[in-house]
Amino acid sequence: MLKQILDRLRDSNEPVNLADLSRELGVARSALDGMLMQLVRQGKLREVLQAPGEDCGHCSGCASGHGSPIEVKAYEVIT
Amino acid sequence: MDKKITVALAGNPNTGKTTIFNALTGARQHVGNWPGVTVEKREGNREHKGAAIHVVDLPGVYSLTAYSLDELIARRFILEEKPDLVANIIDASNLERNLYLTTQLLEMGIPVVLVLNMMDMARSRGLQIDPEKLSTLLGVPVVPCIASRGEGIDAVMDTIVSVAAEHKPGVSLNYGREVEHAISTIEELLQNRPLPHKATPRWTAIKLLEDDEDMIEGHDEIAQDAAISEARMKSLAHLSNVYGDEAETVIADARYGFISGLMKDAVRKPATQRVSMSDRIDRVVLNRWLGIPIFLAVLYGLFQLAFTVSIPFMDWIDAGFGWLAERAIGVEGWFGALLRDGIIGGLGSVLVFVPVIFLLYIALSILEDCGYMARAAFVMDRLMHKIGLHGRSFVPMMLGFGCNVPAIMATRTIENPKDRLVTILVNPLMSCGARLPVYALLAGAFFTAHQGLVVFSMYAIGIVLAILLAWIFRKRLVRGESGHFVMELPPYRMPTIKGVALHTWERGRSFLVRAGTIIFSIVIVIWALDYSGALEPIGRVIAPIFAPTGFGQWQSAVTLVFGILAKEVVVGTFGTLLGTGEAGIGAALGSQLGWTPLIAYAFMVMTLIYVPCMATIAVTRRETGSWKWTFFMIGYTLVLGWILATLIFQIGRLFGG
Ligand SMILES: Nc1nc2c(ncn2[C@@H]2O[C@H](COP(=O)(O)OP(=O)(O)O)[C@@H](O)[C@H]2O)c(=O)[nH]1
Repeated sequence: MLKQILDRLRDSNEPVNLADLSRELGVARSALDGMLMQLVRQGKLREVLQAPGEDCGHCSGCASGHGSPIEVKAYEVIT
Repeated sequence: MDKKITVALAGNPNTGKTTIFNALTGARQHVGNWPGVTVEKREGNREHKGAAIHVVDLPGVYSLTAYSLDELIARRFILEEKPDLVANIIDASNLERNLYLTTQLLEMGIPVVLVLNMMDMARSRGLQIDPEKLSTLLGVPVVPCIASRGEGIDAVMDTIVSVAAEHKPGVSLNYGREVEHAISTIEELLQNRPLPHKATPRWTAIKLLEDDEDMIEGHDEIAQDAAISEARMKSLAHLSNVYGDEAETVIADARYGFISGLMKDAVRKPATQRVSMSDRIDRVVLNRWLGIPIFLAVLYGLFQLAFTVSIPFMDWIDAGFGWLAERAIGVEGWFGALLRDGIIGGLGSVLVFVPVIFLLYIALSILEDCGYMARAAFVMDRLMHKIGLHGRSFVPMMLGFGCNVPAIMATRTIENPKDRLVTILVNPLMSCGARLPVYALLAGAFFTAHQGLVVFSMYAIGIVLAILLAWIFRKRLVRGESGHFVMELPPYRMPTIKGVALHTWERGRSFLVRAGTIIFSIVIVIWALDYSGALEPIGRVIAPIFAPTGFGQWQSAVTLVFGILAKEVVVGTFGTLLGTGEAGIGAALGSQLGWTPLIAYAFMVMTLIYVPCMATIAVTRRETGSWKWTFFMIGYTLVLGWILATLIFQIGRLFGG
């Protein structure tokens, strides 16, 4: 399964939607989350943080410095 | 009391472990720390059917690897203290994920009771779990319960007592021929030796194959043993040869395979796989062909709405400043001029656009809060990837619609420095809120019937240019590999009034603050320079550069120069230089500067593209750490803006515009 996930991501020439991946592999979303977490620990994936994590003190796109108002959690394959 | 039983509670976080621990032990609890660490250890006692049960709550974990302290604590306790059994608490509604820990508990060869908690949630999700089947396949008792209602706790206790009496471990997972061979080879070498943490030889062998740090680094007597080390290396090489992957992954995959089998045999999912509302919307919104048209349509709708709704409000504010201007007519001398041309003409002309800016921010906040913007970013990223670009730069781009400064800061999340640089360089092309007053002013004056469309076209031009230039920069300036990503889109949500109000205010406030401070000061300076007659000569020196664009008047040139300080200043400068008069700045542009709709459009494109504002320049310098790239950004935007404005004006003229 882990190998399948990595292969699927490496073979794709575009970002993959987690919901699609879950459907394709027939794995529940929560289980898939667990697998991604495991790949992160194994150093195969890197979790991409979303928020700049800092209030820039300027016009805030990051609502009150609490991070990006657009949440997309992403994992990148480490090559 | 004749029997003493120690039971360890193990489970993923949020499975109801604490609830069950409390139900089992009641008030007889003791809280301390695990030896040597500051992780909380809870223990409690109870009697049941003549047995004294000692319950130890292990930290909530997803697996039993050596990657985290909690996991090490949990597994060391099980190995070293050898409780009579482990009660594995499982969230039945997330069975597939939770069973991973179960497979690892089974591996340890200890008796296990599977507590299927949250059965109510599982039922409401339409999952039909067959506990008996599960029990047969796992070789351990399975007890369904709903801990929050106290249902099934007695059965859990009964089972604990009976399992402790039998002391029989569950099934042993089969990892497939090759892995099993490797395990038994190493296992044999481990027989009759004292093993770390009093583990079994099989478990130790598996950990050695998994490259488990705790086993390898902490225990030289095993890992450095010549025979074991050689067998291990040979096995690892062989497995990697056969499977094309590390043993760790192969073993984990075997566990997942086992779980997938369990799920097929013991769980029935709802007959017609329920397609959630979110999925249904996503099928359309994320559709390969419809995704981008939908995004553009949403943007278009957004501007139409923002303009239609805000016009009456803008008229009121305009009328208010008109009334003030009338009062100011009587004020004599320089102060009267300052009041009329500087404050009312300059600052007032910017403030008129507060309603449309706030409406845009409201609309953006709604789109963000409901989860749509994340989808739009995904769709755009997919497009970017198609043309060979990094696949995760569109979130910062989308944030640019609010303001480019936080948007550029948000690029910090892009790991690859080249991708990040490109994303920073093109970010100013995403039209920010500060440019909106300029579009609103000119679209209102020259394109009354199609305001929304004209303003939308600015945003669209910005997006197209950003993609195009990102592509060019990636090809020419900063080459490199692009990443592979999986993205998790947030669920759709009904935006809350509070959330939208907060996000709108966060953005809107900064606009107001800027209007009251920076823009106000700049407008005063411009007024003073103009009053003293210093502006016109400067403007006349620069103006010829813009002759081919149609806006070669000295006032326009001065406006663009000051617009670099902050884009709203463009409107304020026109207000100061032309006076708002009866018919407003728009009419003055036509009558005093001879502007036509074509020139106005060329000027809007120029405002969109040319040199980003000071704040953006500063943040670019800071984030890239390079003056070279900062000047490059200033340079390319200036040249590009000029070229496009010229093209629009010259070509438009050919067609009689
Ligand atoms: N619906 C439902 N909720 C439960 C059940 N058991 C526990 N909960 C709730 O799940 C949440 C997490 O429980 P908790 O015991 O703190 O989980 P822990 O993190 O595993 O210790 C709490 O809000 C509990 O009230 C259950 O059987 N059904």
